[in-house]
Amino acid sequence: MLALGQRSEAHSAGRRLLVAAGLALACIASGTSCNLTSAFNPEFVELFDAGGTGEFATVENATGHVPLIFVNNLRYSSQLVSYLGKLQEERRLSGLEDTQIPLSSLRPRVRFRVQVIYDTDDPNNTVQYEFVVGDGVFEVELREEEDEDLGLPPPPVDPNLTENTLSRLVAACNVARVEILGNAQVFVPVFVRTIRVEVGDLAQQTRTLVATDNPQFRPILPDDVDENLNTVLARNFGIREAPAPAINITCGSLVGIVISGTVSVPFTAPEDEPEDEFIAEQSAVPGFVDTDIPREASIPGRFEFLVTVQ
Amino acid sequence: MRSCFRIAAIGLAGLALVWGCSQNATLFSDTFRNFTRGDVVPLTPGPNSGLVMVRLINDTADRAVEFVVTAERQVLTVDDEGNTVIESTNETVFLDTFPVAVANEVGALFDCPVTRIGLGRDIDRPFSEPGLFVSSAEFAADLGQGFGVPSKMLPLDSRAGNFGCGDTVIIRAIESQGDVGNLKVQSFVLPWATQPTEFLGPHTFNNVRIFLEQQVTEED
Repeated sequence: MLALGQRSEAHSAGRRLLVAAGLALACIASGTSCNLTSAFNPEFVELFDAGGTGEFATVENATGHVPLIFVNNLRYSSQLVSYLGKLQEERRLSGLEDTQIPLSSLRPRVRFRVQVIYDTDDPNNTVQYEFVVGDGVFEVELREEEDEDLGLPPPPVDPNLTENTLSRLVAACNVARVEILGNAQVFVPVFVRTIRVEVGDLAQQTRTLVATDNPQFRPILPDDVDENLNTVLARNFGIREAPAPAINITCGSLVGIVISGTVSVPFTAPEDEPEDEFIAEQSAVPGFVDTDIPREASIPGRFEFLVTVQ
Repeated sequence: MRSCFRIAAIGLAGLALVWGCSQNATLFSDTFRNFTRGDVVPLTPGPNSGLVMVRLINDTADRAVEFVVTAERQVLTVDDEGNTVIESTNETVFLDTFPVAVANEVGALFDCPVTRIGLGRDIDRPFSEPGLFVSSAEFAADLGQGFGVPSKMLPLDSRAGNFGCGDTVIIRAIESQGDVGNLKVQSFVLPWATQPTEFLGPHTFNNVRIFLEQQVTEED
């Protein structure tokens, strides 16, 4: 005889059985859609050489992705392409082993750092990546090896010239903000001379070589402006065309970064300028007179940035 | 009577769970729904994007890991005699991950056709070529203080059916005592054929393809 309030073991077991049956029916009715683990886990691909041990592993799916796509729409100026073509032709005529580089289709090499800020409460939610894309050709490849008169130093070997290429990155959701850090840099593929012009007693101009800059990555700088935001010295892009950070990024959208423009350098007569002006023009080399600030500031060209979220 | 109410309440909770897992889910967030059903935003590039995604995961507790991913591709080029030939080219990217949630994962996209995917510059030498750079335990966030580790992972080959255009290849680094660098690499594939074709959110990778095609100028 059971006391009031005391349940038999059979009653408790029966109640538990009813609860379990209820839950089971609910899950059965839903079919596989109620699987709380990913219903389509990535397949484990076991890649071992002969004699490897068998292993099984699982990994969870991501919740989504945000691609960061960088597009390089830069071109070399026609004057620069002509200069490089002339060097390439001289090298070919001298009989040096050479593969003709299709100069007109070259993409200038550009690099910049991007900061990705994830939308988490973790204080370590920021990661930086470097985008690098473009062709790494430079003048020394095209110049005659026996040209000792130039006395030009060998250019430094920068791994970013031919390695480290990255233009398509995929970040995991959720991304809060994407922005370009610092200045983007463009590779100038030629030696750039700084020439000093001195006028002698008889009004005779003497051109001397002051410095020679190696082919190198050069920063892309905004124009110098006054307090009213008027341009006082044009450099590489207007202050209103600076790359904007990408915000309001929803999971699944893509962030596109496009750089357009022309890589160019000023040309000038070399330090050993012949008297004939026509010949001087034909022998123009990348460089500028040291007092010509605007031409120096124009290196490495004029550019535009476009950052979009789609 | 009270027992009946409890049973009924549990049954209703189960039905709510069914409803939440059904197509008209409003009970759970998009994040959870995409994690289980994959129909909010795509998890694979899909066949129309012409891309293969490589997803890299750092599942270590306290190590920064740089993955050196190389994709071998067959591209059409013109030789010196003007003939169109197929050349094999390697595209290598260096991607850093850190042992912090979300930042422990990163990916890269490669244009199809991709023949093989592996770790290291030379994917034919997975047992000697460094496929990962790992920070030492004392400098967990500084890869500059780290060292190279062979992946010991044979490259995935599309010709062997390991993956195809539109799939997501997943490479994960986990801790493994006794292995070089106390690290081990595992590979997975998420085939596009297993994924939904309709999405509630943006079709991410189709948008990538459209964006890339819009940037092609007349000069190209």
